[in-house]
Amino acid sequence: MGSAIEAINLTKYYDDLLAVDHVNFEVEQGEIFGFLGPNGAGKTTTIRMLTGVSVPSEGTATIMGYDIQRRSVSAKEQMGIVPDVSNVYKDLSAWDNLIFTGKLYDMPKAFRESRAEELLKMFGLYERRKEKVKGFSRGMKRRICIAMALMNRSHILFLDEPTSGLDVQSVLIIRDLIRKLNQQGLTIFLTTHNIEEASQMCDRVAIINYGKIATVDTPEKLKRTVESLQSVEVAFEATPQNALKELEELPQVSEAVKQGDKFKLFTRDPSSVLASTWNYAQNNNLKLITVNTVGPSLEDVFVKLTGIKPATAQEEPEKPDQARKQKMPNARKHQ
Amino acid sequence: MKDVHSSHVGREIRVAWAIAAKDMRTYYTQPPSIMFGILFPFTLFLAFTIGRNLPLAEQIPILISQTLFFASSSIGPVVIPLERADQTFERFLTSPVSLLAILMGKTLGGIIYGAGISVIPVLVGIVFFGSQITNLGALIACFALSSLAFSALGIMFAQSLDRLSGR
Repeated sequence: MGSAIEAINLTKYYDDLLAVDHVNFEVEQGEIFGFLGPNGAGKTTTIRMLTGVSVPSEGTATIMGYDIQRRSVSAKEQMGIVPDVSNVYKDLSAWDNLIFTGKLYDMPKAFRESRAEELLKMFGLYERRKEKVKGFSRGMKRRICIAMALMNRSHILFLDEPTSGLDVQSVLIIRDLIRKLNQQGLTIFLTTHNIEEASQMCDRVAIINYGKIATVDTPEKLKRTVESLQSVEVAFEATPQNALKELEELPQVSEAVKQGDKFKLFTRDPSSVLASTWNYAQNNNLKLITVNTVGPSLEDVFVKLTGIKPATAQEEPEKPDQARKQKMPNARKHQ
Repeated sequence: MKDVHSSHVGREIRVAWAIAAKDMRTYYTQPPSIMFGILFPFTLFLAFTIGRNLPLAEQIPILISQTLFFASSSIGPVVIPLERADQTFERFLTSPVSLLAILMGKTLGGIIYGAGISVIPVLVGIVFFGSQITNLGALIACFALSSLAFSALGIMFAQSLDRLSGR
């Protein structure tokens, strides 16, 4: 299959700030492609360039073979976009929102009405189609927003943080819908902060940091690149005061982290750590209630590649643009 | 080639009409539209005429022109910032819609609102004060051209206000 989306040297300057730095990647037709990165990394700027909202300073992008700048109308006919905010018309009904979207795509009346009915039924909102959207829950507004993006039977769906801020039920409904749509052949470009979600749903992920693509690969291959991030999770019935420090000093443990009532011991050799943890528990008369060996998660890969770490009270996080200006040697005046 | 061109023009007109119709349903009854499009010209008219001995034949055209100006020019600065704030304006930018169709739609919304509201003082003049239309063609042309110009003026101000507010 050919590529659905191709970014070629996509670059964006905001005055002297280099927001996106010569980004290249390809999304195959029919895949779910995750686009991850910390806040201010350039995710939204990249999406805005891919969808034709923002003009790249350099480079270009193609959507199903159409150049987004030179043949923007043809390119936009191929895609549906769900931004991070549900930008529905709150004073219109669910039905009218979909019909208006159909009119924007110049769909014939009979087709837009049958498509709106089909989508509202698919999204479980047909019974409430006549109600104004302002009375809908956040999850329902999100579903309407996705339905609007699908009105024109697009080939590609851009989803920017589709499940952010939603309740568990809405998240499950939307994830299920995304999977079903993908099974029907739709290409999905998914931006998310939820790394577990990306790991579960995406065929491939790209991680962007400081405007540059740090890596593009399948989640499992990425996890294998950081074998050093294997860990052993242990929990004791009663936790001694110095447990964290003592566990960190065990042989083969590179780092120990307290996570709730558990300890996560990072190691290259889980079996040695299991043995030494057992000895530690015996020597201190501790009862082990949980022991798990855990492979590296996509979140571990993300943390390693982006170098992010939690800020302490003394260590205020840098503003993203300040950090970028300091770290980007090639910042220049906007041309 | 001609068919392609005419279908393209037809599409632009259909999309512009869809945008204008949506604006009518969504924003015509918003408080800022009512305030600046209806109450403001009426109040200004009262402030301008009360205490002066102007003949009725002169008062009604003043009210009509003020209504036409304020109602037509108020829609752009109401609708566009609201759409930017709700991020619904991005819908146009990500849809296969030309900038011309968006501008036509927004301007048409102002024209219909301005011309529609301005018919009220005309009817009031005819029904209650016995005013007469001496040249209907000139009146219609005046309504069409003025509402077009004032609506476009409103769109222009909406754009610059939007930029000033940093949106």
